Parts: sequence; structure tokens; C-alpha cells
Amino acid sequence: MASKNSELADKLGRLDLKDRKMPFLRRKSEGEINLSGNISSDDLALDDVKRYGFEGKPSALAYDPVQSLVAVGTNETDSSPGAIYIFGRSRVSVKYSLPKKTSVKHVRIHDDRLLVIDAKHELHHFNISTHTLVCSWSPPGAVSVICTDPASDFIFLGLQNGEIVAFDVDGDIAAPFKIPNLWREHSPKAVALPVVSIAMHPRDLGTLLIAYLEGALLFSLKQNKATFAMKFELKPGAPGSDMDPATIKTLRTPKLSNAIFNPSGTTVLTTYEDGCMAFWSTTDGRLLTARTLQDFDVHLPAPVMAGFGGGPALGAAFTLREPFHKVAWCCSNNIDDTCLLVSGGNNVGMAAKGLTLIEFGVAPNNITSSWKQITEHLGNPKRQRFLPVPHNIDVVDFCMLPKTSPYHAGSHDPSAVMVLFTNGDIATLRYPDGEYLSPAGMMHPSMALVHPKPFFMEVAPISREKWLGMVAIREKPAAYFKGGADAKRMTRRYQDRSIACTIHKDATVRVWDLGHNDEIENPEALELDVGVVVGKPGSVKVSAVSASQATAEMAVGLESGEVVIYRWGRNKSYNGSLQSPTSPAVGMKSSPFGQLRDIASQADPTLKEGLLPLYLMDAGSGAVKTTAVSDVGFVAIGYDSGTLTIVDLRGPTVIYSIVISTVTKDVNRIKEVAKAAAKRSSLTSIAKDIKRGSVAVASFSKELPGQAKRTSFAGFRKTGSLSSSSKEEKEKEDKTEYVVTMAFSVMTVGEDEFSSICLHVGTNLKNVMTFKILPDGSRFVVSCAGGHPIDNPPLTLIPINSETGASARATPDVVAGLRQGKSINGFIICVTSNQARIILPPEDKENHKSWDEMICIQAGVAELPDKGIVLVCVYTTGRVRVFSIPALKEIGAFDLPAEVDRVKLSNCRITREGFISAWTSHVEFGLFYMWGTGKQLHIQPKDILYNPDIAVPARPTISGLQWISGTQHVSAGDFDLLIGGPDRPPSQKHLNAEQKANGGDKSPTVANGNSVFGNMANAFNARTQNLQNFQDNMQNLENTTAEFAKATSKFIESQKRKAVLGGAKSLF
Amino acid sequence: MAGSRNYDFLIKLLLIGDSGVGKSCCLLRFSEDSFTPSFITTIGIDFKIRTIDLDGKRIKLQIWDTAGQERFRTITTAYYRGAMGILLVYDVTDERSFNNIQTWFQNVEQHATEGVNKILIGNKCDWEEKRVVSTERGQALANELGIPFMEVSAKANINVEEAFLLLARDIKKRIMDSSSGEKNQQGVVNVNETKVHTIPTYPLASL
Repeated sequence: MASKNSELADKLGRLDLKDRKMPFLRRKSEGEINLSGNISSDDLALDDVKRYGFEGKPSALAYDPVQSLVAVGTNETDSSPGAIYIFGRSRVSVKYSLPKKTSVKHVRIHDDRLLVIDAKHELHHFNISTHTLVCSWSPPGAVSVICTDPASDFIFLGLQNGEIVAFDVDGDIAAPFKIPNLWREHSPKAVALPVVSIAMHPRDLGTLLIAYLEGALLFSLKQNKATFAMKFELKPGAPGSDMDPATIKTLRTPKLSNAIFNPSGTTVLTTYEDGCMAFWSTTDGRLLTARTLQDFDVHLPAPVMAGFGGGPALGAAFTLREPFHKVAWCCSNNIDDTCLLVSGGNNVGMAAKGLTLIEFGVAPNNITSSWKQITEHLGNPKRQRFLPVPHNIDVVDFCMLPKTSPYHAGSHDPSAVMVLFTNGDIATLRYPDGEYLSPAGMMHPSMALVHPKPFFMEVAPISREKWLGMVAIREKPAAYFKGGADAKRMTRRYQDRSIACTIHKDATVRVWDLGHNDEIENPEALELDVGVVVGKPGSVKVSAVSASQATAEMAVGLESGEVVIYRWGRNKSYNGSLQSPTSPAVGMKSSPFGQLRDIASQADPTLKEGLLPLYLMDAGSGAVKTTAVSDVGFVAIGYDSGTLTIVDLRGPTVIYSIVISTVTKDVNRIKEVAKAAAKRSSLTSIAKDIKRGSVAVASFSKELPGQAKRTSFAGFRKTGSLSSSSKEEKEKEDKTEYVVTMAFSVMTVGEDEFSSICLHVGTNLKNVMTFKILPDGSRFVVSCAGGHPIDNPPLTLIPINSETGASARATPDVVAGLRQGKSINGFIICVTSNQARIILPPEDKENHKSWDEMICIQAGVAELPDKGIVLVCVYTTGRVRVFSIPALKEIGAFDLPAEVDRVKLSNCRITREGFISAWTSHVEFGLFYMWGTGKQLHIQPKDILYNPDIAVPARPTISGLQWISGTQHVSAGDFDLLIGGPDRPPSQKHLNAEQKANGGDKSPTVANGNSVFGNMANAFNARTQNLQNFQDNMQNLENTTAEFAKATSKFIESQKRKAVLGGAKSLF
Repeated sequence: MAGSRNYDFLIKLLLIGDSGVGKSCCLLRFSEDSFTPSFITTIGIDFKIRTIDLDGKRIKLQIWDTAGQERFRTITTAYYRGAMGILLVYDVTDERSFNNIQTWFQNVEQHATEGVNKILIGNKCDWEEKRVVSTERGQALANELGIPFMEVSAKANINVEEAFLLLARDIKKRIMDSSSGEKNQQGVVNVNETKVHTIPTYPLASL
């Protein structure tokens, strides 16, 4: 390109100065000028580069703290099956699609296994190390619930018919293990008794908690039978969850919805569809207490206290409660210090949506405490809180983010909780205080795209130098997702980064690097919470965003009329308290054009350095339609009322404000006059008159901005003695003219002998106006240089330097050059729905290309390095056509892939580097590269997710005291034998462990702390292993497991006791 | 345990008032007898429990602490109806929080159960040099609203306990008056006020 440019410049240098105005035209006529070089259709091939977001609606969440990865399952869409997206650190993400067209129901991620149950009840096992689908399996019935454990190779599937089957994900075969419907004996007449919940004892692999619709039971794998059943009944008089006196007097048995262990495994919680929660002891299955979210001891008969506002129901007396969607019994680092996190269970009509957190505090020792103490502990939580969720939507699921341990049902010492809403949005709340955590800089952009959904996306180029420095400095929690590593990508350095500005429903704008399929050097995301800055959190809508390329100043316009200008800097109010937004703002500057306020004090006080709000422009001129930020400190704002305002950020001052229709009308009128007058006198003198007139117009309207609309240059009309029909005027006034697109540039306008800073403005009423921003002493003044009518409202205006083909935008360097009298010749490419046009500002059209058959909805200029630039037009059909500049000859065309959402195609963006970003579904957009080689998405390099060096920590086991009190210990080996049967080949994990042991390493299988019992546990495991080897002749597990287990456990038991006693003796 | 409740009454109280007036601090003082000078905004709703002995009765107080910030308003009003007693808290060093009591009071009238007991609390009364709302003005407002009034300090532990107990006692009295009336209707032995100490009005039956 460079050589080409210099060549061009040389040629131009030889041009006569008088011909400076349209140099390339001369060249074109001579067949020489062509900024598109020799780009041909051969250069065009679309690479499918990347996707951000989720194709379907997120339906399931899972987190693995060991590998530090999060998995999100999605629903199917019309065209594609559901998928699972896994995210790790910064930009690590991999997508796995289901083999059949169906949705994801349950997701679990343990070690290198990704286990999925789809809506068609099929189990899929993906390996995240090799990125392959290992196997799929259809269980013998509809799956209602699943249970997995990081320490187990088996996945338990609870079926609709009440049976439980197991699948061996190590050998990828169904395990011989099966539990029949055990509740049948309790309720022989029941029509359906599906399994509603399965949980594994947190410290004892040998115990399962199985919940059916009518009750729950503890199942001992060792004994292969249920130890005791837990059936919840509300005796007559017990309030339960309802206050209806008619039902209170009857015996009720609410339907069970969920059953979980507490983190130490001493208590079971069962929840019921009516909103009751019952606590049971796992020692003997007794009911400890029952409650609803608001009331205690609801299982005990109590008088109704109607009329006191009290009583169990919150709010109106007879309202229904929501079912419990999910409950999690979390603990801190100390597993006896627990909290219960609940979604659902509140009154259906309750206005607020959220999670309830019940903080129990440290539990009394289960073995030495009395039942009374334990009941007291559960019945008197230390604290209870209601954590409202953002946006007030129903929660369907949540997923805890534990700091280290994957055990305790994923609820051990969490740092945050991710909440999935009915509409597919996700929010992250800090645990335990419920503060809403921004995903910016903490999560993959795809995750941020559903926090909540965006409705619009702008892509702004920001220079690489600037962007690399834009890392927000603030106190933030440790990263949640640390796993994985980026795949090797192109290391090519682009001068500008394509920065995406996604505008979300909650009036936040997130700013992040979209990338060019290259290594992303600054993967951070910045968040602008505009609602908070303008003092209306949650009730504003962002309507326009623009950024400056060199300075990264941003202007965010709102539908309510405010514009917030952001600039990178250090926060002066860091750590100070946030000023109430309603308090009078500091440094208010009133001008006839509206209020421009210094709002630096409104910056987020936790932010030390970042993109900070600087000024707030509140003109009261209607909703903001479009904004433009120049690199040299000017911001232009177009309102839907037709007002165009230009702000000079030095000061800051409003230097210009006008109702755009007044300018366009007069300019058009002058043109008519000019045409008529052309017959009488020479063109040039008239043009000069026009210019003088329009400048006068501009200054006139500036003086009287308030009246400008109404007076409509009465004064000018007199002097100009224009005779325009009133009909025409009326027609035009029916529709308010407003600005739809703007661009700043530096170029020579008209017959000027110097270049100036220009603002090009396209309006909905088909005018392209050019304004000049000229220095006048210490300040700048704006004047209208003229206008050019076009056939349709412009989609975009692109200023191009006609000598180099570079963008003619107003950069600081170019503007500095103006003082030395450097001049720049340029033109604007204006694209409308049916035409592309080269305009020489302010008035002359040089060339155009029309198309009748197709409707263009977006256009941009793309550069092929070392070759030239082309105009890229995207049409409603997804067709992309490429034209040469300035000849506007079609070079080639291609189609965007079928995945691209045609409805949202107008929001597609074309970057100068040749990348096209377009929405591919409701919350997913793709990045495509037009100078590619036709690569498909699936051949793009895949990120690495799995780190084989991270070992899964050992599963917590029963305590020494529990041992002595007679609890049997079941080792992982025992467990494998019990479920997998005697014929099961040794598992991969086992082989690895053995290999390590042979290699001199100590086997890390069971490490029970540093206690004397821990070592003993190891010894016993070895012993059990030996024992298993003796049992080779065992053929049929179903017949012999029980006996075998009994014998095994007896043996272990006696051995353990002996050892304990022996060990104890040796201590003395 | 099994079969009986370990309290005679369950009373639900609600703390409301502007953000930063010290609702959470009052609750912390009352439930745990501690104080923290740092300002942590309450998010949503927070509740704590304390069981007290009042005239020979074991009363379990379930106290809901609400977020004062405007953005949680819809959530907090959802809890008004469940409350039997409401503490309206203002800050004696903050004129605006005092003026807003009227709004809070209207909110209560609108959303809470009829006849709910209320009390006006002026917090931070230890901070004399910053005081802008005099005790007299507080008392005058309370009189105007027809509710009891107390100035407290969660920091200096002045009157916090007393304020909660005053409200609890009023509620207990209301419940007992009403329930004894009910029992009369049902032909049950009238409970003599003097015997309250010995005969449980609420014979919360055992299972």
C-alpha cells in the first residue's frame, strides 16, 4: 500500500493546483486513478472466523472448580441442535453440539468428562481433552434426574418409572447396578412414582439419598437396601405452608420436589411443592423441624392468628407458593458452618424475585449434641436474607462457584452464584451478600452477552496503542474461571482493534475487543453503566454509541435525551462515596443549547482508573438518534427532534446547535435559485453568494436557537426573495428531518483554498450536509458549507482521502498539519438503500452506482493490505457486493452464510480490515473475514480446556469419630465394585494411579488429612483391594453383591476397630 | 424437641427508613449486641431472630431489616404485610431522612396490615454536634402520627433494646387482648389479665 500511496502522491504532486479539486476524476477519465488497485473477485472468499454468544437459549449450568471451567447448555433452535459451551480463562471457549436436534437438560462437568442429558433422555459423554463425543447412551426409560460425583466413574440416572440405573462413563457401558422403585412398598396404589432427586452422601460413597414424589429414603449401597424412609405429613392443625382454615384441619402429604444432604451429611433437607421444607436426621431418619421460607415449626399444630398480619403466609392469606426450583446447602471452609440457598418457595404474587439465603452458622457437633440442640440450630438460623436478582425475572436454576472443592454437591465454600433466568439470561451474584457482579473483565464475552442480552452492537475501531492501555484498574475478586488456554492464533498486528460496544437491556454498554481472529492482547471488557451515571438506574435505554479512534473518548446517547461523554482517566472520586445523582451537579454550565454538566464525581468509586464519565449533555431536544466523536475533541449529537448539536470538549462548550431542517431547506432553496440564476449570470459568483448566505444562516440560527425552528430564516427569505410554493413546504414539514448518520473528516470543501475540519451529516429526508468547523480566535465556529440531495436516506457516510485511499477522518496529526497549510483532498462515499455515491463535499456528485433489484442495509470500506480499498455493501438477502473506489465498478460478490440472521442484518458491521460481524441468532453473532480462503468455523483452531496436571482432590470421608461409632467406610474401589460389578476392567483413573505408585510416587487415591486415621484409611483401602482380588470367581453381582458387601464390610469393620483400638493403645 | 415450640409468641417486626439511617446497625445492636462503623448497604431483605422473655412469656422476635435504597422498594414493600410491628427509623443528623418519615408512614398505611403497631425511632442520638432534628420535633411528629417515639443510638447502645421491647410489648398486648376476645366468643375460659404469667394464653398444643 505504502509504495502505491507514494506513487499516487507523486502523480498528484504533478497535478496543476487549479485542478486540485477533482484530481482522481481527471485520472479516472484518463483511466488511471483507482484506489481499489487490482483487487479482483479472486481475493474474495469468506472465512467463518468466530462466534460470540449462544445460539440457543441457555438452559443448564455447571461449574468445575478443579479445572475452573464453566459449562452452559442451550436449547435447540429452529435450525440447529442444542449445544454446550465451555468457558475458561479470558477468551477460552469451546462449543460442543449435540448429535441430534434436541435441547440440553442437564450438564455436569467433572475432570475431563462432560456429561449431558438431552431433552430426549439420552446421555452424552464428551471428552473435553480431545474435544470428541465419546459415546451416547439411551437409558431404559425417561430420565427425571441425574446424580454424579467427581470421585465416581458412574452417573446415576433416576427414571420416571421410579427406577435408578447407573452408567459407567469410564468404560462407557451401562453398569449392572440397578435400584428398583423402592417407594412402591410404601405406596402400592400410587399411579406414578418418579424419582425426583438423587444425592450422594457428601462423605460416604456408600449412601444415596433417593427422593420420590411421595417421600425420600436413604439407601445403603453396602447393604443394598433402604435404611429408612422419610415421609412428611402435616397433621390436622399444623399450618404447613397454607393458611386456609379448611385445609389446615385435614391431614396433608405434600409432594416432594428436592432432597439434599447438608455438607457434613448429618442432616437431610427435603422440599415440597407447597413451599414446606423439612429437616431430617440421617442417624435415625427422624424429622427435626419443618419450615417455610418465612415461618418455623410449620409441622406443629398452631392456632391461626388471622388478622395480625402474622401467620405463615406472607402477604395475602391464601396465596399459593412457587415451587422450589433449586436448593443448595453450602458451607464455608468449615463444613459445619452452613447456609441454605433457595430459589423459589415464595408467594406467587410476590413482586420481588430472587434467592433466599438462610444462614445457620456453625452447627453443634452432631455426635455429642442432643436432638434439642440440633433442632434449635436448624430452627433458629443466625440470619436470613432475601437476595433480589437484577431485572426481576424468575430464576430457574443456579450454580454455585466453589473456590476449590468440587464435592459437597458443588456447594463447598462458594465465592459466587450464577443464576439462570427463565428468559435465558444469566446473572452472577456475589456470595453471600448478593451483590450483582459485572461480567466485564471477569468472564468470556459470550457470557457477558447474556448478562443480560444486548439489543444492539456497534463496532468501533480504536487504535491498538490506546486499547492496550485500556485495562480498568479496580479491586476485583479473583477470577472465577481460570482453566484452559487459548489456541494458537495469528500473531499479525493490526493497527486498529475492532472494539465491540454491546448495548444491553439494562442500559449498560460493554466495550471489548472483537479481535481479528488473532491473539487478543487485551481481553478485558469495560463496562459503562449509563443508567447510574444519569441517576436513573434501570430505566433508561441507550440509543446511540460512538467512540473516537485515537483517543477512545466515547459518547453514549439515551432515548431520554441525555448524552454521556466518557474519557479514559484516573478517577478522582476513587474510594469516595458515590454522590447522590439527584444532588446538584458540580460545575454546571448552562448554555442556550441545554445543559452541559461535569459529572466526573459520578464515576464508580471502586474504579481507580478506567473509562470515566466526563460530561453529561442534557439538551431536552428529544431522543438521541446518533452521535459521532472525533479524534480532535468534537462531539456531534443528532436528536430525533431534528436538532444537531456540536460540542467542543475543550471547555467544554456547545459550539453549535441547529434544527437541521432549517439548514437543508435553505440550502436546497438556494440551489433552486442558483439554477434559475445560472441562466443570468456566471455560476461561480452565485456559488459565492450561496456560501455567504449559508454562513449567514448558520450564524443567525446560532444566535436564536430557540426560535430557529419557527422563524425559519424569515430574514433570509426576505433578502433572498425566494418564491417557493407553500405546498412543498408543508409536505416537508410533515416529517421531521433528523440526522441519521454523521462523520467527521478533514478535507478541502468546495472552492476553499485550505482544508478544514468537516462534519458530514446525512438526514432521513435525503440530504447530505457538510459543516465546517473553523477556528475563530481561541474558539471554534461552525458554518454550513452546503448540501447535496440524494435519493434515499443515507446508511453511512465514509470520508476517504482521495490521494491515499486512507480514511479522511480528523486525526490530531492531520489537524495539526492544517496550521501549516497542508491540504487534504477527499470525498465522501455515501451509501443509501439503492445507491452508492461519491460526493465531493459539499455539493458535487462525482459518481454513483444504483441497484434497483436489491436493498442495501449496511456498507463499509474495507482495505486489502498492499492492494487497495473497496466499498462493501451488504443487502437484505445476505448478499455482499464489493465495488471499486471511486469508479464503483462491481468487483465481486458473495453471500453471507445461511446462519446469519437476516432480520438483524442491518446491525452488521464492516471493519476496514475486512471483517464483517453479523448476528447469527438472538444472542449470538459471528465474525467473518472477507479476504479469507473459505475456511469453515469448525476448522478454526480449538482452545485447550483440560489440564491433565491438575489432580481431582480426594473425596471427603467420614470422620474418625463416625468410624468409631460404627459407620462403615466404603472406598472408591469398593464403590466401583458395588456399582460396576466384578467383571469391570480397572478404570483409567485406577490404572494411572497404579502407574504412578509403581513409578515411586505415593498413590494419591485417599488422603484423609494428616490424621492417624487418614493413614489407616489408606491401609484399609489396600486391604479391601486385596480382598477384592480374592473374589474373582464372583459371577453375578445381582445375586451376590449384598452378601459380598456384608462380608466385606464386616471384615473391614472388624479390622478398622482393631486398628483403631490398636492405634489408640499405641498412643499411650 | 419433638412436639412443642420453644416459644409462646412469634412476633415479626420490620425496620424501614431511608438508606444510611442505621437500620442494620440497630438490628445488629439488638440481636448481637455489637456495632460496626462501616457502612454496608443492605441488599434486598435481611432478617435476624432473637428470643426474649417478656413478662414471663418467651417471645421469638423475627426482625426483617429492609434496604432503604429506592431500587429495592418493590421488594421491601412485599414484606410489609407480614409484619406485626414496624419501626420507622430516621437519622437525627439528617433532615431529609426525617422529612421522608411521612412518605414511609404513608407506605405503611398503604401496604401493611391494618392496625399494625408502629414506633418512630430517631437514631444516632449520641451525635449531638451533628444533630439537626431536635427531640421535640421527633416527638411532635410521633404525636401527629399517633405512634410512640424514642431516640436511640446503636453506636452508644442507648435505648435500642428498649425500643424493640416497647414495640414487642405493645404487640403482645394487642394479640392477647384480641385472642382473649376470641376465646370468649368460643366459650373458652376467659383469661384473666393477672393470670397471664401463669396460664399460657397460647396452649400451643403438643403433638
